[in-house]
Amino acid sequence: MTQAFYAHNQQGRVLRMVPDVIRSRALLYDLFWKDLRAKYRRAIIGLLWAVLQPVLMMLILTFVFGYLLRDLMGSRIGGAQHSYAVFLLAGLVPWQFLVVGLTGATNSIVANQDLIKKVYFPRETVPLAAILYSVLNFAIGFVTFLVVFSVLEGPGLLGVGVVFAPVVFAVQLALITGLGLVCSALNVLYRDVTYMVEVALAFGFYATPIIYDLPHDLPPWVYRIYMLNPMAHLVEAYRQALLMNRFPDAAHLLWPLAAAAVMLVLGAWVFRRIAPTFADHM
Amino acid sequence: MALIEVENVSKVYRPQRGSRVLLSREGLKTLFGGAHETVTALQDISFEVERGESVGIIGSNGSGKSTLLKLLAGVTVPTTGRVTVRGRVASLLELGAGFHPLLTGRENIYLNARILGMDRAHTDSVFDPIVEFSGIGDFIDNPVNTYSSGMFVRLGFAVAVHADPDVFLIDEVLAVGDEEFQRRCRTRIAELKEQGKTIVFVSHDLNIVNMLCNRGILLSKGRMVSRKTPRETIEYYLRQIGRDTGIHRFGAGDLEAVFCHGRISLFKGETEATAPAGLNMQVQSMGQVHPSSLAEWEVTDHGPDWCQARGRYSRLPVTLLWDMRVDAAKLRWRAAIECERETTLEAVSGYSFWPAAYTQFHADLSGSFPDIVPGSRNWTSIIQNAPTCRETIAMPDVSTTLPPAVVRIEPGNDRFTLQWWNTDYMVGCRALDAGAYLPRSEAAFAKGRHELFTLEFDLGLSRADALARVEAREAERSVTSGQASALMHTGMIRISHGPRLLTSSVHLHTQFKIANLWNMSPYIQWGAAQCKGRCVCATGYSTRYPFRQHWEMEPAAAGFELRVWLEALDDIEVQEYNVSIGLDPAYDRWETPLEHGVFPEFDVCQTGWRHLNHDHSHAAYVRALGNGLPTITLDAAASDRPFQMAAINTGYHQRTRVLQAMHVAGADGCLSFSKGRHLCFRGHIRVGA
Repeated sequence: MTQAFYAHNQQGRVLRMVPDVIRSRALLYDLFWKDLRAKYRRAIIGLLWAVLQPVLMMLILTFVFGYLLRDLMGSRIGGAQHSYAVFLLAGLVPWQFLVVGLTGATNSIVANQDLIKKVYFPRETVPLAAILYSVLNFAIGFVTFLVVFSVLEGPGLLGVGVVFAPVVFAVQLALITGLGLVCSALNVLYRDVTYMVEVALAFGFYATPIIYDLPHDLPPWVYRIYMLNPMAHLVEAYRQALLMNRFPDAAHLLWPLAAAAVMLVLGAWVFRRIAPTFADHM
Repeated sequence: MALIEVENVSKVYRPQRGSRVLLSREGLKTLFGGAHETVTALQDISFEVERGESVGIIGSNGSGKSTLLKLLAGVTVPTTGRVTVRGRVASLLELGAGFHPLLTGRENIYLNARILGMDRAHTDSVFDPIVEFSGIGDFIDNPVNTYSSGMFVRLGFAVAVHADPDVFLIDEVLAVGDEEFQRRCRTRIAELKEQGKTIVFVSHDLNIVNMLCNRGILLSKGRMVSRKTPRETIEYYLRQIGRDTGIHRFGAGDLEAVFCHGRISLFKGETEATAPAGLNMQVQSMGQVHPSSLAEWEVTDHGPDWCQARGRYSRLPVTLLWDMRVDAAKLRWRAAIECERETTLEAVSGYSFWPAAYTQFHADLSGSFPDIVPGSRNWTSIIQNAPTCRETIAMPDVSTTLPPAVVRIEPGNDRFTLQWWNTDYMVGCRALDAGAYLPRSEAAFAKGRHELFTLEFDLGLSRADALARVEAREAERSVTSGQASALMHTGMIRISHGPRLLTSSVHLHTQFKIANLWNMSPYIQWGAAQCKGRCVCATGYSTRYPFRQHWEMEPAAAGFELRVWLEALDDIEVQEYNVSIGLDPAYDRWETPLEHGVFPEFDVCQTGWRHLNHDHSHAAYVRALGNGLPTITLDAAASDRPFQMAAINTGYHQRTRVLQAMHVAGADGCLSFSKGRHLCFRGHIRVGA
């Protein structure tokens, strides 16, 4: 093996990111398994938590908003033909995908600093492994949704929309990846990023139509600002696919897609700029 | 193309950005890219490492060694310049750091191997060797947070070593784990080097750098000062850094000493007389050995030819007090300890390390150091002298410029002995241990100051003077009768007639066959030689079987009488034993009371010993004759036991005539020696007449 395994000036190149990741896909997979096993090794019911978490959250939110505060919510509870639990879960599962993916990726580099300080390997694999974990989490959440849907509404109502969901998923994955790359790299320089992400996600939970339907009744300029949030579009797109059984509106896909593209490019650039000197900041 | 290329590399660190910075006066300016205080860790470093080379990086703390290793490992990148590595790198830095505590050893091996760039099939193929080398055994399927820190590091080392990379980066790994594991690591690294692996090595253990590396790179304050052979670099290092605290250079005439954090190196003119480990101390408390290099040292006072230093152990309430003076080509090293409270010390030692080019030792007994072969993993004791022995001389090989080393001890109590060792192969030198093992009743040191020893190192003698001195000492250990004289050595007696040495090879020695193994007297531990009136005595200890030998020689008519006692420390079965005299090949005839014959020429094809007489029935003596040589007779008539006498030619490579008195077991095949002392040979060796 005489080819240059690394020359330092190659490490910073944005364009080499894709081939580097493809070459180290086995490592990516191993890191993913490490995260997974380490996370659930000491937990008695293990991976079942990925199911229990959205279900419990659905139960409590249904209790609060669908029962206690039902009068207050009024017409904001959308999807009149569906039960609140199903409506809620359709928004909650994609949101959890973002939460798990983004927080996981943001902390991943710092959490793996022992490794980063020790050996050279393509650094992208670390946040990508964290995002891969969130994908698994989403898959489990999605299955949970299908089960809850079938139980509450009968499986007959599940339609062709399930096939459209992956399209939305792909756009969301790209968005999370881009955000994850930016945040994980910046978090090495400024640990403030972790806290900022936490605050932003807490805020975002209410600024995204999860517990309520799209607020069409807002003043138009407020609504426009509201809809700058790509997650608002994505959640609506999931609902259109899963609950209304139709291909999501293009508007709800194109804006997040544009955001995802920008974030991916920005993410790759920021990450590659900072990654070669990660070890200096640990 | 070189495997590693480092071109004009500099590395500048900017301060960490944290809230402390923000809250300081310059805070906001700093945040928005104002002027930074920077730290230059490396400046304009260039070198290449070819495939198969091993390079040692030496430097004091903060000289940029670890930064350089990080650059080579690709963990970080230089601020300016270029680092190119053409191959896979495994760093043995921070071993096991990549392990996840909750995963099992097995899972961690696969993960770690993957990070080091191995694919699954490769890992499968080396999995068993990894487990075996690490000694983890059945724990392999337990999570690694249940491992001891030693197991953790062992597993990390095992994975890295088996990753079969193109370059190994090694950083102080040898400072972790237990002693046995350190030895295995060192052996393993030596093996890797022998297999032609490329190694970049950072260590404070200058000995290992010297032994292992083709080249030494000396870093000082981020700059590359020298890149010559390791030995030159190490010398330069020791001489250059004399301005830091904890280090002092002093000397007089052509003898120069460098005190460096609990180690003294001696230079005679341009050559370093001591091995890189120099002179140092160890104390042992509660079974734990504390080398002086682990203490926190401070030079308290110094002059051009002297130096006083204090070294405080952080793990013992003990401070070492050293007073070193150079005077007339001698270094006097006085060592004392100061205890903060009552402390138990089981052993204290002053070590001095000498290059392997010192080949002869003279103390209680004289002898040659055996070669240190690549397989030697442990230290081997060469001679343990009696407590009465206060002086020892190490003679260098004639081909070197090293001075003869005369070491004298003025011990603080009569437990101190001088013991010579051969170190293991990696350290590769002779070690003189001036140490005392203290029995329980004496091991308690009260609060306050205690003198331990003064060692004097005299490097001023010429070779001839030193040899004269050796001869004067040897005269005390020989018996003479007329022209004949016999000199006690380590497990051997040299017999001379006037100035002419008659014996050769292993001289007069004994062999005891126990459990089908021959125990030759030169290869057991000798010491405690002393004169009792006209008698010269010495004791040898076997490290393999529970016995000692006591030899006594006493002048007798035209020669001397030799008595050999076997002291069995336990009941012991001996199959056969003999007393043999290896003689100059100029002896050409032999005779016994029963027959006589000639010693034939040595046959090139002959490797084993060849018995020349045929009648092995018990005889009184065997004798060798040669033209112009005094007849030499081995006469066992005075023994209580019956002996068979033999005249023997050795193999071609030894080319020695041998006279042998052997005692063989009867029909039952064994001679039983009960616990206690048995006189097993009493004979008369006559020279001339």
